Amino acid sequence: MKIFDIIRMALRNLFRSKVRTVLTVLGIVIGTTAIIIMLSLGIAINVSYREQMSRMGSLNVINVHPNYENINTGKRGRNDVWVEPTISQEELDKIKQIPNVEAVTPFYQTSVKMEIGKYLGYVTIVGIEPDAMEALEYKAAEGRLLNPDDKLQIVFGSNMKDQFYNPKEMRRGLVFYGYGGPGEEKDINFLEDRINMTFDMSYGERYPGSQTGKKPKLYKVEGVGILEEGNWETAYQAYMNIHELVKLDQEYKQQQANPDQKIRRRKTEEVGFQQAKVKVNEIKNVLDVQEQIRAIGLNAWSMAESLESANKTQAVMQGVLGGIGAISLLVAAIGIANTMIMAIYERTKEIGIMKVIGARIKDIRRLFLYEASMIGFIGGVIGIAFSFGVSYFLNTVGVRFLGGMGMGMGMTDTKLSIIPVWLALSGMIFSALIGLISGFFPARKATKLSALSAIHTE
Amino acid sequence: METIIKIKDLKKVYRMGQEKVYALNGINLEIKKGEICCLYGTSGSGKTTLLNMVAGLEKPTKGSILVKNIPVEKLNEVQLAKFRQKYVGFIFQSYNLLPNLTALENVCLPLIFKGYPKKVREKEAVKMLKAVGLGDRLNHKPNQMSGGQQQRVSIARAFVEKPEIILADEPTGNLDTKTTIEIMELIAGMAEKYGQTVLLVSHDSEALPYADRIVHIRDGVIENIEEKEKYKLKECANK
Repeated sequence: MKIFDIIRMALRNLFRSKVRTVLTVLGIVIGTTAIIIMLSLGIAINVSYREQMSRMGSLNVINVHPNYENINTGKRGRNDVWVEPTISQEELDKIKQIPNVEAVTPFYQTSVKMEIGKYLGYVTIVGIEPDAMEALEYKAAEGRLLNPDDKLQIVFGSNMKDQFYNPKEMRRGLVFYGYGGPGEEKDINFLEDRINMTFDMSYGERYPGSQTGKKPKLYKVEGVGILEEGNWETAYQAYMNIHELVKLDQEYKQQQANPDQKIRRRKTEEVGFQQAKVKVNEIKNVLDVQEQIRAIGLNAWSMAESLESANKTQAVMQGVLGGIGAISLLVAAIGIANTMIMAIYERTKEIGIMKVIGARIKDIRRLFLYEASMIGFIGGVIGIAFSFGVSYFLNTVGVRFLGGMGMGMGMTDTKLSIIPVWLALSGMIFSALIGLISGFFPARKATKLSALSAIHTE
Repeated sequence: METIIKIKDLKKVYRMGQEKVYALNGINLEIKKGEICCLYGTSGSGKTTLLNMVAGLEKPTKGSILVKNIPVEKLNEVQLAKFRQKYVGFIFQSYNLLPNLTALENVCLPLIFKGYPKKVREKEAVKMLKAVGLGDRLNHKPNQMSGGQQQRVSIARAFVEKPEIILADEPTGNLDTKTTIEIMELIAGMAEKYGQTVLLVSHDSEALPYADRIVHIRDGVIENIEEKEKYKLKECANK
């Protein structure tokens, strides 16, 4: 018997008992929809979590910090003063040796004050290896990233304007520190305006604090780039060549020190760092590299690691949600089996006749299996169409509802339910498979019927 | 004349509680190619059981049946289905058409199982239905036709594959005398035309004139075999 003929015959048989077919299909529709919607909720949560994570930084970057737990064995400076632990150059070199590490840069962070036109700003400035910027996925929205021969060139974070204020307006009480009045666009162009930078925090104030030592230097710096928006970590920082920044900072510290205290100016290699970042070539290697960094005796933290543990929780949640859907699909599968068994009782005589006039055993079996899997498939297709409808409803009305309750604040584009193509396709295949499996026992029953007694059934 | 069906010492025993009932008790029969053989007897004589065994629908308790040298009683379900598809056409007393299929589709069915393409099988089926005089009833469903017409569809279905053997189980049992004669003429005519062997079960005396041999069966044994003139003629012609 040709496949096409079997399909035609199966469809015809299904069409014969319309009501029963429709009801059975409905069961599968509900089952498929339940399982797909449940999974889509889980997927949506997963996706929004990932988005949130990626806004906090790149997934294959490891943040390295000194081991603060190590206080007792920590270094002790002169006069037994405890010195804050830092990452040494030696340790950084060790990290560089770890396989799969693409780039390593220490961070040297300090605060400066900047002046742009009439605006002043307290700026967190971060010294970084210019080479590593690209590897660490810093992206310039305007201008460029740092070059190795940059000295007083600076790359600004996307939201840096917020850090500047107009001292005159502030004195008049018009603005709070750091934030301009609503709607007021600050007249700052980082790439073109002249920028002065100093380590003196009281610079530009009407009543400068008491200065010990000499007046700090004022440096003319040049803005060369602005970073892309969307990364909270980098938005409020400015970046500069680490070697230059260390040099300037050491100069300042030496200048400010008591004349009787002899402070030696240290080079970049000699100072310790509060933080370093390590770029790993692939996400799958992150956890491994992280372990090795810990073995060196440093603290290592990565997005990938927290994502990993979050994934585990979410897998459990997905399982629970999918399980609830699976129960209704199971019930629907039993419905198919029931329908098929009923059909066999009804069509016993017909099966007998077909056997006697030359139907093969496999034809009979295939006929019933096709009917059952068609119920599953049709139910699956309708169920998926229905799921897309429900998903759309959740994403429009549902999100608004949650927003109204104050749960979706600032997440207007967040989706409650996401149905990826693979889920839709596998839903379809799965429901047909469910039909096939539930048709298996009835089909076996049909082939086992004795032709003679089947014919004599009325 | 070539023997197409060879039945040897066939026994079928049913158990009714403690008692043994012999439906067939040692049947020996040879049926020649091209013959129309009628198994004649009252109901309960075992004639239908014998027919069912030739088709492999029932298994004998003892004895053997060779159809075209194939031991039918030893075939399994899968082999039996193939065997029936290849050699046997069936005509039943109650027609046994599929009620939801049209006359044309019913006749097509054996060809569908054989995997014929749609065009070919419909052409064959139409030809067959025209031959049984139902050229204008192709798209009627069984319940839209009379008993005689339904039996004609069933005959068309049995003959459409041109099987070598036609098994007819009381084909005229539900029909009136006039229709009985028409149907018997049709079966005999077709069988003659294609050189087919017909094994007919009947308790209807109207059917007897169309048989070449009449095998009288009573209580599971053959009482006597009546050979007609035409049987002897056929035998001579074949020699």
